[in-house]
Parts: sequence; C-alpha cells; structure tokens
Amino acid sequence: MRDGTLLPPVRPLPAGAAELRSQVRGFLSAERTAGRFVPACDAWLSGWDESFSRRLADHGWVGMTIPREYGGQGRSALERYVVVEELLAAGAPVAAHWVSDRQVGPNLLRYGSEPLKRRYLPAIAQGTCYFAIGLSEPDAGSDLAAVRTTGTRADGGWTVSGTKIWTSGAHRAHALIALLRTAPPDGRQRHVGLSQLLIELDQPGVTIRPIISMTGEHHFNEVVFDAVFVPDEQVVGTIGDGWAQVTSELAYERSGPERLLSTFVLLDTLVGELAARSGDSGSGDLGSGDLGSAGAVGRVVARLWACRQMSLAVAGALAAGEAPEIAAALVKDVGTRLESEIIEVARMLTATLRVEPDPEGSGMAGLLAQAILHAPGFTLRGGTNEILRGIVARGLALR
Amino acid sequence: MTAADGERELLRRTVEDLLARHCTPARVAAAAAGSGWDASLWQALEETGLTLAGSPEEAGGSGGDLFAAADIAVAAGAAAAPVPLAETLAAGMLLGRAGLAIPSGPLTVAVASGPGAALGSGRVPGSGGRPGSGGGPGSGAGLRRVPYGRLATTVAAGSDGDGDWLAVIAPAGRGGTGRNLAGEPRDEVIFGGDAEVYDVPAGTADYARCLLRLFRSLLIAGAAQRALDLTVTYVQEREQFGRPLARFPTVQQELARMAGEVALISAATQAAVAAEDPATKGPAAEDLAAEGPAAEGPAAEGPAAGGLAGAGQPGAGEGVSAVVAVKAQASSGAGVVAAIAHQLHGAIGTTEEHRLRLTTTRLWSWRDEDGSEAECFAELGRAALAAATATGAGAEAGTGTGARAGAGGLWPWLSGSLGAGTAV
Repeated sequence: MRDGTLLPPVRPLPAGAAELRSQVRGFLSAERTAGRFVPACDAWLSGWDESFSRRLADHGWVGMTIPREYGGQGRSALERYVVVEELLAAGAPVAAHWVSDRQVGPNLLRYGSEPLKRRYLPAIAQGTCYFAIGLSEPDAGSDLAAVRTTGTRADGGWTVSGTKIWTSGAHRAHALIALLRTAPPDGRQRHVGLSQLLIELDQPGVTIRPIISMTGEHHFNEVVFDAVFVPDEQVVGTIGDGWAQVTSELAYERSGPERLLSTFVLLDTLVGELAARSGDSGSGDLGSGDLGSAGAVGRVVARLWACRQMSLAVAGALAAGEAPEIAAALVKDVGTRLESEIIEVARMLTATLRVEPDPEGSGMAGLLAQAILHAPGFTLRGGTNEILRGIVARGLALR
Repeated sequence: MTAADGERELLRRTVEDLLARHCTPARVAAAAAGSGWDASLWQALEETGLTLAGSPEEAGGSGGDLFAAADIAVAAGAAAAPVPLAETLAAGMLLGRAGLAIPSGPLTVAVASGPGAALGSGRVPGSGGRPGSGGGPGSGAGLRRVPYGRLATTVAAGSDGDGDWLAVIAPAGRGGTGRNLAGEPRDEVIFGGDAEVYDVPAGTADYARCLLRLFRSLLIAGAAQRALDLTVTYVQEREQFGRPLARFPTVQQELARMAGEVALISAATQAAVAAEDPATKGPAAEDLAAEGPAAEGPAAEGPAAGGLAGAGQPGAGEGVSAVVAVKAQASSGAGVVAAIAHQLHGAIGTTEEHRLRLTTTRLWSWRDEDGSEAECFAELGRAALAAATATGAGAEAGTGTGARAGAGGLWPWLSGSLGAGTAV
C-alpha cells in the first residue's frame, strides 16, 4: 500500500464555488442581522425551522442537485457541499429539510421510480417536504441487519408492522424512509430480504411517541407501525435490495461536513472572545502573546483543517462515482471526535473567564451547554465510531 | 485516468521500485550505523534525475512540477531512504525560484532563524554584514542541526535589513556533528569565507521555511503510511489465542485510529501540494477574485495568500501558510501513529533487529524537525485569532458575550485563505 491509497485524491472544487459560497454568506448574514436565527451548536439535528428551509429553498439551495425537470437546480454534489458547509459553519437551523436534502433526494434520484420522483422531488426542492429515517429499532442499533419491522405482501402493496426508534423529527416529518424485512433471512445471509419503503406518517396505524433528550429537547421519536398499508408505488428501488441501497448511502452520510462542524459555532465564538480579550488588555494574556491559548486553538484548527480536506477528498470521489467506504468511515471517526475535542478546548480556555455552561445563557455559556449535552450523540449517530473503526480495520487487514 | 495522472503514476512506481531495491532494512540500518548515508542509493537516484524533480531545467533541475517532487518525498519517507532526497528536492526548488544555478550533488536547506536551523554560536546575519561576505563579519556563524550538512551543499536562507539572501555553503565536513533518533546526520554548518551569498527576491526566506515544513511533512506522510502497512501485515500474520491479532476487536479499533491519523496527514499534505498546482489553482484563483467585497473575511486577500507560492509576497504576511497546518497535523499525528504501531507489534517491534524502528525513529525525529506541533499550533492559533480580529467580529463577541456567534472571521479564513486553492 502506498500513501494516498487510504484516501481518494484531493480534487479541486468546481469553478464558481467561491461565488456560490459568497452568496450563501450574504444570505446568512442578512438572516442573522434580521434576527431570523440564532447560531447554535448541532443545529442540523435540533434547529427545526420550516420558514428558514423555505427561504433557503427560494434561493435554490435545498435539494439543489435535483434536476430541473423535477423542480431542482441541477447543481453538482460539490456545489451542494459548499452550501451545506456554509450553513453548518454558521450554525443555521437546517434540521427540517436535512434528511430530505442529504438523503432522500439523492436516494430517490438513484433508486426511485418515476412516479415517486414526481411526487416528492419538487416538494423537497421547495423546502416544504420533510422526512425521517427509519433504520434503528429497539433491538437493532449498531446491528442494523437485525431489523424486525416487517412488510407482508398485501394486495397492491405491503402491510407494515414494527417499531423504529431514534427517528429524528418524525413528529414533524411528512414521511419516513424505512428499512424493513420483506422476506426472511436466507440462513445466515441476514442482508437478504431487506427493502426500503417510503411511508407517509399521517395515516391510521402510525403512532409517534416522543423521546425527550437530556437537553429537554424533542427531536427523537419512537414510531410504531401497526398493520400500516404501504402501496407498491412507495417502494424505493427494488424489493430485496434494501441493504445494498442503504449501505450505498452511508458514504454520503458519514463523510459530510456535518461530521466536523457540529460545534464549529462554539469554536468560532471562543476564538472571537479570545481575540477581543487580547485586544482589550493590550499585550493580552489570552492572545498573541500566550502560546498556551493560541496553541490550544491551533491544535483544533489544524485538525479541523485536515479533517475538512479529508471530507472534501471523499466528496470529490463520491461526485466522481466512486464509493470510498473506508475513507468515509475515517472521516466520521476523526471528525466527530474533533467535535468533542473543541468543547474541551473551549472549556479550558474560558475557565479563567468564569464561563460555565448554562442552558439559559447566551454566548459562550449557552453554546457550551448545547455542545456538552449534544456531544455524546456525535460519536453514536450514523453508526457508532466503534462500528466504523471495525469497518476500517476489516477493510485494511482482512480484505 | 488522464495522461498527467498516468505519468504521475509511472514516476511514482519508478521511484518506489528503485527505493525498494536499495532500501532494504539491512542497508538502511547500515547507513545509520556508518557514514550516515547510502552513497550507492544516492548515485542511482542521481542517474535517474529523481533528485531534482520539480526544479526548473534552466537552473539545472529535471523539470516537472511540485506533484512529482512531493510524490518522490513521500516515497523517500516510506522507504526510510538514508539519503538527503527530500532535502535536495527542496533545495533545488528554492534555488530555482531564486533564479540561481543548482550545484551538483546532494543539497540541503537551512533557514538562518526560526524553525529549521537556528543560529548557533556566532553572529546573526545583518548584525554586521552578511555571512561569509566581507571576509569576516558573520564568519564562524553556525547553522545547527542541518540535515546531512556534513556531506550536502547547504543552501541557507535568511533575511536582514538589506532584504533576503541565500548562501550556498560547500559541504566542508566542518563544525559539530550530530544525529537524530534515526541516525540521520544533523550537523552544524559553519558560514565560512568561501560561502557564496546572493541577494534574492523578498519572500525567499519565507518560501524556504515553507519548503522545509512541507517536505518534512511529506516524509512523515510516507513514514506514517509505512508504519500502518507494517502494522497491518503484522497483525494479519501474528497469531495469539489461536487466531490472527487482526481478528481481535480491540486490535481493530487501534488499527483504525492509526489509519485515521495517517489519512489526516495524507489529506493535509495532498491538499497543500494540490493548492500549488496550476491546474487546480487556476479556477480557484478566479473564484477568489470573484468573491469581491461581499466576502466576510480575509479570504479575498489573494489567490495564494496562504499558500506556498504566496509565502512572503506582499500581503501574505497577514496570512499563515497552510503548510503550518500541514506540519502541525503531520507532527501531532506522527507520535500517535508510532505509538500504536509499537503497541500492536509488541516487544519484537522495539528491537534493533526489527525494521519497524527504522520508520518510528524517523517519525519521532521528523515531528520535531522544521517546526514541532507545539510551535505550529501556536503559530496557527495566533493566525486564527488574527483572522477573528480582522473582521471585527471578535470585538462584537467580546461586548456581547458571544451573542453574535457564528458571524466570526474564523470560517472565512479556515475555508479560504488558509490553503487557498483546494479549499476555496
């Protein structure tokens, strides 16, 4: 093996990326100035704001890779990457359309039937149609192939029964994209017999129960399906190919900028505070004169910069039609650990300022509270880091 | 694959094959125990023109771009090649950029202040004349721990009140001698009366510093990948409790952590190199110019404000080179990689007989050479604070206890001028 084989080559972003970036920054600046959003940590999970999603869509920045014939902009995946990282770095409330934009849109483009595309893609691009993801179950967490929700053949469709859990935003979403079992496993071949269905949530037989997080926020749910009829038109891709379809999405899910930037607002604010204080006190005890503070900031900045280069390399490979599974898993492992490391640096460097995390607080105090309480989720969601490291190791050593 | 990709792949293979033939563990170890280098390997490299890839032909180089030089340096790091190959590549580029002829034989770069080689006893250039000039002032000044200084021609860079200078100092074998943990020569080089001193364009000394950091990082990238490869092979072969180590989940977890560090170093070095490639820089540069007044931060300063090519150019003083981030990441990752490699190899990896040490002793040395992570972290952190201040967002944050979170100057800097090119 040679250097570079772990990672796809670094490719340039498309021409026009900087102009696009500048437009998004202008939009975000105007939104902030008008008080239409308050930057927050982990806002891609908890910042549900449907009017923000619609305004973003008015600029063509939701579902922007969807072709024009389906109401989208026909922009490239890398252009979407630029927009998304700007939104995340600003701590903008993108949760409402997050799953539609990142997952369901691309999934339907790849596997969806023509009627399914016509039905959902235009609404996704308008920022008005929201989805939840139905992967985990009470007895199927890291062991995803253990899902027990079943689809039983019925006249013209499938009858679905079972329970999904940790479904972010299900209580506000229009539909849920579920991985479920439509045929029994073939002996020890557990990946056989799984399928993907799009299930409308506003119908009899669907019960959505809130799971309140320790922050007091409600974004997770338990969704119970009790003999819910799902017509054949709502099948995504091919019955029985669910495992392959889901795992092909995972490289997108694991390597995106949301795996590095969940606490960026905290870092940005910290650096602003330190810079301001070093200015106040002349030579400054926290600024340029102090290698300790600057060094601690530099440590996470260097890592963030390198993580971003990794994420960009994977994004470039995905855009070129490659499936860099190991590199994508690596991005999530190093990136999500960095998200937590930023919190520790912020705590260390604000200790002398007597800033303590306060959920009711503004500025650093509030951001610290958000970040600390959300942090355990960083290395769990999207496949725990232990599972991902297992994937990496098997890819390296056992292929 | 494009024609350029194909050529690059061919060059890479050629270098790797040549190095693999020569850099057997026995020969690498012998070089460290003996003269400090492998003369026949050097001869083979010179004959193929590989030692001056990336340097302009009119200066005596082999032509080619930074990609070529970078690939060779990575391969040299992976092979633990006991020759000043990366050093010579960097020196050739430095001389070429300054428009000076490249002397024959092995070369090495030293910077007369700051990271790299600090001045030892003697006079700082500029305090009474330039080193070696005027028959005395500065004579006796020494550059400390110059890689392969005893046998390579040293290209020293520095600046004084009269601007930047380069000095070409013959390998005199004088001065104190030293070694790093891998047994590579790290020698004191004395400015003598026979040093040739040239006035060079402003920014040359900064460029030299960037080259040192970049090429050291490329060596680390190669060595880190090699440490991972050796470890992967070892855990597949070594059996305990009746199965290969690779089957144990705890081993897998550590292997993956190691791979993460290796990938970070690889991504960082690749990005820095790609940022300098005209093919990738072209459109990106246009993009930056197009950002115009709407840009919130220093990203609009200039195409390569933070890049290697922009180092030391007017306006670049505000920015910090992406190469600082690269060396910071390479140095901090090197220690993690070496530690996990040893842990997974067990006791056998700690022996003189085992080849792992040829790689890990280099990682432990190279992380401190040309800027340790502590030094690079501090430099990068100061630049981050400056970026925040530059937009005025910091002041807002201070008065409003961070009420204007998310509006700071960190992101435009991080995604823009730090590593302009790929990162636009």
